[in-house]
Amino acid sequence: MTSERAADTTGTTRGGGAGETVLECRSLVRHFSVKGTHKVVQAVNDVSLTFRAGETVALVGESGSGKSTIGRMILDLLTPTSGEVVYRGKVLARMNRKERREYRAAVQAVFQDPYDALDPTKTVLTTVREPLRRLGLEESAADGERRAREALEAVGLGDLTRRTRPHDLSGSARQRVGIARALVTRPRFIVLDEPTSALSPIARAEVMRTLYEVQQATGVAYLFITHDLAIVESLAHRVAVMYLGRVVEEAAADAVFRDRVHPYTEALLGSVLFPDPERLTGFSVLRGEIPSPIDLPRGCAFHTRCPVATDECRQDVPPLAAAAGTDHLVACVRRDERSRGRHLASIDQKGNQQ
Amino acid sequence: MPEHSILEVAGLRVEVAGDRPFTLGPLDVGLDAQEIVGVVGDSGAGKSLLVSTLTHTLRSTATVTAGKVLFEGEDLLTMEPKALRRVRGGRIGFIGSNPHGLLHPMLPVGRQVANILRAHHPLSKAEARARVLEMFTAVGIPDPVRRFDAYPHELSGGMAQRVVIAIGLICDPDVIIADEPTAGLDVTIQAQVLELIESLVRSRENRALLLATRDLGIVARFCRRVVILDAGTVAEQRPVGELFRDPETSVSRDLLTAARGF
Repeated sequence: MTSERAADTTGTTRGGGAGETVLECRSLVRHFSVKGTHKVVQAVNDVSLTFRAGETVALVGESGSGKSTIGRMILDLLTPTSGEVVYRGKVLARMNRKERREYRAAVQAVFQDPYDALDPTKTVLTTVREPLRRLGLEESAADGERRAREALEAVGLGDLTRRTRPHDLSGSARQRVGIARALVTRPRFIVLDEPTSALSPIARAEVMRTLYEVQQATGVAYLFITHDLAIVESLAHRVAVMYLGRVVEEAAADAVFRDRVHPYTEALLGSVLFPDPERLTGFSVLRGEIPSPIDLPRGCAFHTRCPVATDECRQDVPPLAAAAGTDHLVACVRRDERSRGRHLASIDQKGNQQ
Repeated sequence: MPEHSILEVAGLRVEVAGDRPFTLGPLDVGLDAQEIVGVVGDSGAGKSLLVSTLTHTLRSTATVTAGKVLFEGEDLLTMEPKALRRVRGGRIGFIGSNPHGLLHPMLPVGRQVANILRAHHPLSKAEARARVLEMFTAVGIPDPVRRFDAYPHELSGGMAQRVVIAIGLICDPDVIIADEPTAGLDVTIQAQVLELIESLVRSRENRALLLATRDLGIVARFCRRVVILDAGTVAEQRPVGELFRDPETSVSRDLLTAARGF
């Protein structure tokens, strides 16, 4: 069963004391001003996340929830409006040139579309070797080529010739080239921004398996940005659910899928179509679309679509805090009442099963 | 061979010439009243080729070399162009993916839907407009009067997809052919859109839907029967529950595993 695979590793990383913190986002905020107006898009608002070695954190939510903006801040492609990215105790914004170069080698990315992300005029070997050259990490051309070949072997592409170019490859192989390019600098952290969205189902499975094997072999930490919720469980140890720039719920992957404390998590996961006729889902509770991040609703941003919102929800933004009796962090004023309800419901279910 | 009441694809064979030759079929698929049949396969399995055969929109390199597509006893493949125009878009509706590619960028979306309606029914502009507004409401487009005059680029992906669905349904079709109708939509919108299409299929006695998709999650929830395509041929064609309990071919097993992650 795929979900057990992720659960096993969670157990070992947590229990075994492995899984030191590799990277942290502390209260990240990113606003964009809208041209020609005084309006501001609040893409990310006060997001804190911790990433441990060997662990995958999935960031899920609808389009426009700010998932990719977080990835881009971690990759130093965007500067946070406030808050910081911390890598092994050092703040990214205050790194000197040498530290920043080390950071670029240690923190890599795999993007969505392998058709766009690979230079069609370059051989695959050159593409994979490029980060080493750019960061001055290879001792010689031969050394660079050897390490590029190692990275390609790690993703199951050890038999490519020197002349292979992206157009010679299938979708899955192209994306695995993207992974090899990210691996070549031996990173400790990789941002996976929708790495499988452009792929066919079989290719997607191949890429997911490759990502899993690479993590098992190297202990790299992943930030897995995706809207593909049906496959999240197979790779992720933890899941953070985002809505309009904020994390509304964060917990172990199996717990998020089982308990769904925040009403938005419940609605989002309730819409997922799992490939199993026995698992009754796909009933949309949510109506309408995500509101504009320019005019954020006051208070809890979800109150406009929330089936259980009260007047209190329209006042202040609820903090992300532990829900009673669970390991879930939940940003909802009714978190305790909802988590107790879930707890009782699960006891009830167990009772019925016996 | 069982008779299918709404649409019957019998012994269909389509060949594509060129540097990547491909053969679809022989293929036997049917649609019964009130039925939603899923057509599933990995990329390159032939889903889109089947859809473009049924909608008579084959590329010039593709030729039908055998078989029939029977709609009310008539073969769509050999129909006179004039008769075909009456059927296609009217009694047979098509819902595609990639709404921004399917909609005309320079025409207000309401007019695009109204044009299709008026091509099939002798209605005045005002009557057509009223019907389109009703359909916009039915497909969950809020504020339909304002949206009627919007251009495609002013709509989000979810809204534009609903316009494409409105086009497929505006003439009250008997058969709906849908090709990845929710590709690129968020799961929350996907569920809303599919529930809507499902309820519209169920709302009329003699209506059926052929749903081409890569997503076995959609099939599990919405389809009664499923056709698994592999390299142009039918690997399995069975009730959905059976397929999930007991996939018989390796391609079905691979697709099921892939749908659950890896």
